[in-house]
Amino acid sequence: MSDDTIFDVIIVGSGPAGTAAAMKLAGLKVVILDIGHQPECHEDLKDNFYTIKRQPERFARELIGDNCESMEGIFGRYIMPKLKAPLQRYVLRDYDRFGRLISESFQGMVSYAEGGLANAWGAVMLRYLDQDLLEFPLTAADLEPYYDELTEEIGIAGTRDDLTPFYGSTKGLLPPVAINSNSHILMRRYNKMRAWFQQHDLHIGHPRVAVLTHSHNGRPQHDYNNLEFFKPRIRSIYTPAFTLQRLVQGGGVQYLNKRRALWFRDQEDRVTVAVLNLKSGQRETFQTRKLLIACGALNSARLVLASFKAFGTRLPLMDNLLSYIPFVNPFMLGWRHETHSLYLQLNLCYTGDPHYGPVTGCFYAMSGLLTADFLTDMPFSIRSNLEILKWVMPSMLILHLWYPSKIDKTRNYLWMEENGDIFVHYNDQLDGRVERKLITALAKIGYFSLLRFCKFPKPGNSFHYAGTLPMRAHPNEFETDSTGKLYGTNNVYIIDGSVFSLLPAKHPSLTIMANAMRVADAVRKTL
Amino acid sequence: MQHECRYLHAMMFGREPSRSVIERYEEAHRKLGVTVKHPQQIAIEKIIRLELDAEAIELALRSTTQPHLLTIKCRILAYVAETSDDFYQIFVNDEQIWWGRAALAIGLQAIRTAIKKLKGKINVRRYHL
Repeated sequence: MSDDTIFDVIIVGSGPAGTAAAMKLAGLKVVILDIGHQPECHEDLKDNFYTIKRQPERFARELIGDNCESMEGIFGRYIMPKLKAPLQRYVLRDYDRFGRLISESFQGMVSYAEGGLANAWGAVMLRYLDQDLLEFPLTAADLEPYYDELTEEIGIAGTRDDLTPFYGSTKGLLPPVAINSNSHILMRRYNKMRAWFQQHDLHIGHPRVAVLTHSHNGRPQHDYNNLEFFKPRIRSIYTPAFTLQRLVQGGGVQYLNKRRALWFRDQEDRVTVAVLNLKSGQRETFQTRKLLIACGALNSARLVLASFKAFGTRLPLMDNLLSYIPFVNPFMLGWRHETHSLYLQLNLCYTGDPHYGPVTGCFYAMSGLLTADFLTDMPFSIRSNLEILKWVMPSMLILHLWYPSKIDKTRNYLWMEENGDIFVHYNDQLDGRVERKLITALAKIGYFSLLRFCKFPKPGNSFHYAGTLPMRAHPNEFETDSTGKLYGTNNVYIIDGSVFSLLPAKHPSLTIMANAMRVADAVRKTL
Repeated sequence: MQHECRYLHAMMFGREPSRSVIERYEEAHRKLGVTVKHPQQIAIEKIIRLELDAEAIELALRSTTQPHLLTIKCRILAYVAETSDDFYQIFVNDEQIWWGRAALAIGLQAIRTAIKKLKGKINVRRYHL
């Protein structure tokens, strides 16, 4: 790189936002700066999970890990299954190397992987409607064309059903993912009592998920081999790394990994970006006409605060609080494990709680996971659990609930110290009222649970971080305008979840990507 | 460690562990940093030395937030077993049974668990575990 190279655009970060923006900027002089850890090669892991389990010692490394990574949950700390698996650990490699995340009340993570935390996402893709964008200085119509483009790029499965009023247009959707026997029964019973459920503000339907039910754009149809928790970069489950690789191989964008962005200086007609080359240990500087920051809400805040030397400055933080409700259908006790299945089965939307507002849920099957993960979750003795878990698991659906979040800098916030450590204070908590209502409602169709079996992970476990640099019609310091431009700068744009002014209880990934494309589109027109 | 593995394996699976399971159990302890210097190791050694009911005691000592060393060791062994050959039938149900039979089995295990919990609490108090 010569010293007088001036890029049109530098994008920092290769997660959903950075990659989506790159789609719109390909062909310009664009470079993505990223640390960019990659997964190991794993060609042996291609059979069905349950076939592998018949002779698992051969795959002990992939299932347990060289350092027993899969066993980490035994010490009491909750770790998301997709991040626990040995081959997925690259997603969190070095997560505290460039500054720790310190908090008693928030269990957050950052990713320096190529493709970001999205490498371990649930791939749920939901459009925001006008009611989800009330605090934003934009409308659903502003995002609609980008949603359509992303639906085509990603390949999203879904269908028109009772959730369509909450999820928006079905344009371009692939057929819905196959559901297992237990979910078929749940849907049949829900449909019989649909009127009652809807009267009680509860709607159940098929998910919108980035899993291919037909081959699409050179990627194969999903084979339901139950390997989602153990095998990284399954081609039939979209992750932004696929788009990034396509753009780089096509020559549309440059990608420089092993680069850690340190700070930026905005000037009249350009931005200087200082990075640390992790390979050589040398500092490098880049010049660009426009800078797009897409490091994720926590790391984007870190970069901005470092650049303005605003140590100790408080920024707001939002996160979708999370709960898990395990449901059992007693008539499915003793069923065989379904060996061909997807982790995600059905979605739910509950709008009946005036305190929290609309809550989104996903039903997950208990398949493709190690039974040992749940050995002490059931209230039986260890030997008893070993006797009955294999009969109970096929009868279970775990409902994950996500709650909306608003900006409240007095309750939920972060600040950064000069050494790069981020401190988070997160006050919001759940009280179980919605869980109680849903347990009562689903009991009517033969799905049972108890509040004492529900889990309430600490804030931060949804990985839906947002709002650190919120978008406003009239922004102030550390806020962005409706074009994503950071207040007080000429050429710096924030394009990830940092800019959210509200975090509805809907997976934000598709909207993060759509907004990033919108901003990139507008930036392109200025060049 | 080998004797400990045999004791817990017999409790959990009702049979002797293979050489491979014992080696992997030991290796997992090394890699996870679970050493004999753990303050609760004394309780484990007492349980084995006095041939106490480890299943009952684990249930009485079980905590989700601060797992007891006995629970940790049982879980390590469960992971090792599940990823060893010859344990498939224990962890995966590939033969459908009538739901009523499964429900009855669960009911009986619930009664068994209640008895174990009482026994465990008595043992914890009696032996100062």
